[in-house]
Amino acid sequence: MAKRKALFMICLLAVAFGLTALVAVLAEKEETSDGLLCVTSFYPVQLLAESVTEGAEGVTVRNLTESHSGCIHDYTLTTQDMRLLSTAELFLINGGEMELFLQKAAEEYKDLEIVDTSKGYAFLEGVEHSHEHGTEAAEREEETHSEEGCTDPTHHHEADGHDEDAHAGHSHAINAHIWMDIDGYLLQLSRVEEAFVTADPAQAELYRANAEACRKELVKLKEEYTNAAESLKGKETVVFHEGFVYLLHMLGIETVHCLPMDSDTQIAAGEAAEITEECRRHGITVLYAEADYAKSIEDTFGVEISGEVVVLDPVTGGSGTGVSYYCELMRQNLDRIKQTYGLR
Amino acid sequence: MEFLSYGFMRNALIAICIITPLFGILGTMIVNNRMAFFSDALGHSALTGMAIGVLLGVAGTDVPMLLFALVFALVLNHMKRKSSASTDTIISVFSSLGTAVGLVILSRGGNFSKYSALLVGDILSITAKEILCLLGVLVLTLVFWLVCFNKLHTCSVNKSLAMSKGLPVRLIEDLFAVLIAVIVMLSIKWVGILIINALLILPTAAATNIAANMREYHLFSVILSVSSGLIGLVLAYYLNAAVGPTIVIVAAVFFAATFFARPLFRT
Repeated sequence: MAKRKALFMICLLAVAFGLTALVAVLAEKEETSDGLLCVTSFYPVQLLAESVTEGAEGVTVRNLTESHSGCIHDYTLTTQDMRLLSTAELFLINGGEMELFLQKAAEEYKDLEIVDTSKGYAFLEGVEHSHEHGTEAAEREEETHSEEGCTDPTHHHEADGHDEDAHAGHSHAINAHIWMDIDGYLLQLSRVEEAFVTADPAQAELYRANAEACRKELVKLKEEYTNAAESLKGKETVVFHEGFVYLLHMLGIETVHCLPMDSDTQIAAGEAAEITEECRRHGITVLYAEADYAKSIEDTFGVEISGEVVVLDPVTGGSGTGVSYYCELMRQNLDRIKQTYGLR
Repeated sequence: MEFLSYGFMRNALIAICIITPLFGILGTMIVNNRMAFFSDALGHSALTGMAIGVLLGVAGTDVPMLLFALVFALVLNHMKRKSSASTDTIISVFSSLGTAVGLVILSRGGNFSKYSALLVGDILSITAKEILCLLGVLVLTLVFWLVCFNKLHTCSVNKSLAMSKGLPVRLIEDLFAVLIAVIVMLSIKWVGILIINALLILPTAAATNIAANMREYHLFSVILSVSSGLIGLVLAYYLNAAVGPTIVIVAAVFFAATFFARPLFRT
């Protein structure tokens, strides 16, 4: 009997380990690319890299968080991401502490060229997003929420020199959604352009020409926003995505409260009451949210403030490619805002 | 063997080689003493432990989690002895309370997503220091197992008999509860609240299917636990899946295989 059991165990384990080895062999045969492999940390940066490298030979742009929609504050690297990074030469990130998973990658791949595309940008203050930092974080959040909401455009954070701290695990309540500010996105464009020019000087002219074309598109888009700002200036609102703070700031609309939503967020009763009070005090009837959460926000606040929830796109995912797609989505956002206030 | 070229995979492999035999041995004792639900409740209490750490502003939440789990385990044991309600009712009350308090504190400001990693765990982020810590716990568990297994087993078979033989039943039970608390808390970040119990129970349950005596029971439990861990880690790497749940699925396959193989070993 004991022999039979031993035989059974050996067979069972042999089959199990054998199948595992088979999976490993089949998987290892896949993928290996030639040329310059550039990995971007998420969608807005991917769009820039795609446009700048359009028509370039031997350049592949891959996005790290392909299957992830929304912002990436809570993203953790998968094994596939780690493998992708191990073969990459260039890693373009958004910066501003958006990529909290970066510490692991930086430790693992010391040779990998990591380009912070928001370096030098003066970030707005944000609502706390970082991991496990106890009371410091909680207090900051309370401070941020207690008075005038999460934004005071006069409060800026310089990006330089923050990286080290971020890696050490401190929290700074930075609003990292720089791409929603067109000037911020222009800065990112220049950083991406420089990164490719440095990494692949042979095709520098092409990169510069592509970047210039994007720049023109973005400047035109910015003009449209500036024009609209003349009629929208001075309005107030509450937003449910930190990125919208930048977008509305361009239009002169002041955000009195910002509550970032994500898939695990439930609006606490106290916070809902606070937002309702603020809306009543400021006479706010328009709230801005992304599509996924608009319904629940409408349910919570719609009747209370007899207002509406306007859906904007935070440009954190989509089917399009390149900077033109970014412009398309940002134009849709502008149109929706204008319609809301009865312009045009 | 491409996966061994990455530091994070090497660390995870070493950690698996320590955690899984640990779980294999602990699992046998947990199943013997019918404490499966107890270890599950402890896992859930990790949320409250972490929440207390966050409230106190402690740099790492490990220490408050561990301390809370120890208090939780001992109070739970005490209540079990004193209360007239059945054990599973008491454990259920504690488990739910531990989860609820943790959720209330951690979801303040709608930020629970920050802590959701605790639910499924992430063994890929384990560091060398933490591995050493786990090694210490493995040694501790082996010592406890060698010294206390027979006594614990007697308690589980018949408490009155154990008492009549002069065994310090209460002390042994409390020590065992403390051991479970320490192991659960130290491994929960890597394994995850939702599945830690499956890892503790499944290999042991699979061993129960085919073992005829205590020696086979322990041997099979450890072998199946280690095998599930190794296979799960490698499969997770190549299939781009979360490690903990993959290990649980492999362990479940082993359970099914041994379950259907049972008739082969009937005398």
